Amino acid sequence: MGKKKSVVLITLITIVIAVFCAISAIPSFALKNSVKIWTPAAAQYDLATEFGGGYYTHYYPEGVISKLEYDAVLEEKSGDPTALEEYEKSYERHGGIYLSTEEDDNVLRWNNQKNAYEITDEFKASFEEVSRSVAKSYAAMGYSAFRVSVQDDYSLFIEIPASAKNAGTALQYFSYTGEFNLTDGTTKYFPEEEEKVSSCFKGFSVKSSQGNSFIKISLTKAGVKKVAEITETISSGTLYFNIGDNSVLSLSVSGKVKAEDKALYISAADSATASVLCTALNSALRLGDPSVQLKKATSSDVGNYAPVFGKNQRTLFFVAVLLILLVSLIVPIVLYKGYGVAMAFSTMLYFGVAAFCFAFITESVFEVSVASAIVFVLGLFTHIFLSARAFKAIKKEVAQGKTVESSVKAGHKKSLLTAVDICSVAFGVSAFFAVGSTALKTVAIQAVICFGLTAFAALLFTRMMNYLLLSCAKDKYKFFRFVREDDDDE
Amino acid sequence: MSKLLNKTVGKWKIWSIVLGVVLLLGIVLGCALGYQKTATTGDMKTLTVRVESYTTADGEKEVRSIIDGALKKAGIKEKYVAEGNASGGKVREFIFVFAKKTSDQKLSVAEQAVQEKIDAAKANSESNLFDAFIYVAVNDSHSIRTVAKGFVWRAILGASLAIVASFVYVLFRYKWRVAVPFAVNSVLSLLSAMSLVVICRIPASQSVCGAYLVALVFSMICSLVSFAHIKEAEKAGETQGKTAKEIVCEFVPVKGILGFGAVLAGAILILACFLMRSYGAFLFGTLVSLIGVAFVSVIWLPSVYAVWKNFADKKFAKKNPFAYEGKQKKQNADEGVKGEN
Repeated sequence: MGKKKSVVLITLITIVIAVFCAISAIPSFALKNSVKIWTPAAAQYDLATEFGGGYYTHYYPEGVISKLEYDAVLEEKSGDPTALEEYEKSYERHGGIYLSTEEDDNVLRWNNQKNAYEITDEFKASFEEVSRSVAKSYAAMGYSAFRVSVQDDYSLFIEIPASAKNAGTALQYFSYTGEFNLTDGTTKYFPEEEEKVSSCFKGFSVKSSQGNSFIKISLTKAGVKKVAEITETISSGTLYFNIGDNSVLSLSVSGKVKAEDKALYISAADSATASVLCTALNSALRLGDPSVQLKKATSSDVGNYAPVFGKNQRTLFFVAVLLILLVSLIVPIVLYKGYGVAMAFSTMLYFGVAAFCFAFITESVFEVSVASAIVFVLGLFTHIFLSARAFKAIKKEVAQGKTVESSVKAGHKKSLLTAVDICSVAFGVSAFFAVGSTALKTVAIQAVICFGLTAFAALLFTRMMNYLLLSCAKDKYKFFRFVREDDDDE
Repeated sequence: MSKLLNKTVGKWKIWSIVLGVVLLLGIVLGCALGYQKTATTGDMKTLTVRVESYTTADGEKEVRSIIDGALKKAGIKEKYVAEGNASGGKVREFIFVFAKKTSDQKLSVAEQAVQEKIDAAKANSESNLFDAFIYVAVNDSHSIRTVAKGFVWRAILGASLAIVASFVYVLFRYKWRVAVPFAVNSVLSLLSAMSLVVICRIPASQSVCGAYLVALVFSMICSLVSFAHIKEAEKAGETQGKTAKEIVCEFVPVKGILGFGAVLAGAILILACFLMRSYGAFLFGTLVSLIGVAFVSVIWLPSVYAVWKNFADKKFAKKNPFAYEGKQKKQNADEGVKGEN
């Protein structure tokens, strides 16, 4: 290829790579004469908990309050000694929580022999069942990192990552405990006495169609009949699907509803919301009507916390990755000179496209964490390793007395198959790991992106850039920093 | 010829025993104790200070300094602090998280000290916390769920499919004589990485599977590069008259593989320097996994492959007695056996 053509192509390629890198990494700034702010791809990552923080809440059963709430009420009643004394008598301290001594709450029972309150067995057993059900609900949501803890034996502390979609909805809805029932807002239609919920409802699942999300309610034969009966009775209004007294789903009714294929479909705002509602309803079907009911968590009970190891961890993360990138650019140039420049072009393309893909490859949560960085680094170093092998092969050919052009051809040919093997295996292994869930699935998909780019860089792009740069080089031996063997005939 | 391989190849029994001990220890400890949980997934004790009113930044600083002073005096150190906002910022919570084994008595002393200092600040009209609503509580938490539904079996399924698929690929490319040691190396590398993380009691969460993915891919790259070099040498006729041990020592590119591993380890150390607080355990776990993989791929595999190659070449020669390659492989294999005897 002629020098001029090569220069033009190199310039165009440099511009494309610069654009990708700029989209990915140029820090935020306000746009001139506009309220809009330029935000790079890197600022739009869904970040792991360590970088992005998370949400948390507490679940307390009826008859249990936190020490914080107890102290607050105590402070309010401090002006009325009688009320204060009565309030103090109505609760017994248990670690960092207070348990109600009222008989109606069925939490504590007075033991005459021990002359002290003891926790009822029914409360213990029911709370354990409820806490396991709540834990299962959060486990079903596919969060990359979460924790459901039993705090002071009889309350729950929940933490989920900040990247979780509809985190507030999940934290509120999973506190709903009680019997699954159908009402029109005033009258309860199902289940009636001696009716079992499981005899009519099989479960709830999320379905998507043409970009819209739906909740599929799977019914039994008896369930289809029951729904038809209820909707005929309501005739015009709304049918509510409740957990205890809390409405979760609603279906507009204007006459008898016949569930085709034993299923009803209700549209949802999005798949994340649908997932939360289905999980909450399935939990209610599974749990039934426990004797211990959790207090309903509201939006004011949900807190968000900053990254626990410091807000600067995210910045340090990007600095570390950029430092590794800088070393990956400089070292090959120092070692391989002109060929190192070709490798540097590949490195920048790899970085720009990978950083872009990590932000925009999917609309669902695609967390970036240190595992993502390690996978990114492995892909980057694999491309450099394979390119270095190709350089070694070219050097071997030159040492046999061949010209640079034919050595490049031969060297690339000899190193090609091994590079194909390594890229294929790395890509394939990553693709199969995408069978995993949550954090592993995300890292596997990121690995697929990285090894795909590695294959492109090592098998195609570096070789192409080397060809273009070599076309512009005056001394092809100096380009590779090869020592030309003296011609004995001269 | 590699000096390292000259020393290590031929001692396959010793390396196999070492590997076996590591795997056995990993399995026993894993079954008995499981993984060590991280600070953000394990059991904990917490000291929570809730400020139920709008405060200034100075007020928050004062709360933090009261708590830090009380903890220092009580002689306890938190693992981390979660600074929470609730009720649209009206409620501010400082959740100090401590290890489960932290003394209840010391925590109680700290709680009392914080309460007293805060009560004094609330009563002081010149304090930033004058008349504020601030409450203190100590809680003991036991984590009951931190792993997503189906995470473990899907991870095992993914790893199994990955190894089987790569085995099939290598079988087509390099035939069974290479595919079998490749697959065995991959499985043992993965298991050794997992065992070392368990043995070293490195805190691990769901994200450790990302480290195992990296370790597995790295081990496959190492073994593929080794087999590719040997295959190229065989094609070029450079292995004629050489025993399996000599072939392995001369043609496995140990420097290149160790260099690649060292550069990867260097990058992990750079990340660790910047992110020790948040990801120190994970990065250390990744490093330890890579060390395990390096042992299996650079020490164990070449020494076992030298023995396997003799066996495989003999088998190949038996099936192809009249082929030149078959005769050559038989000759090399016999010379290899004589040398070992």
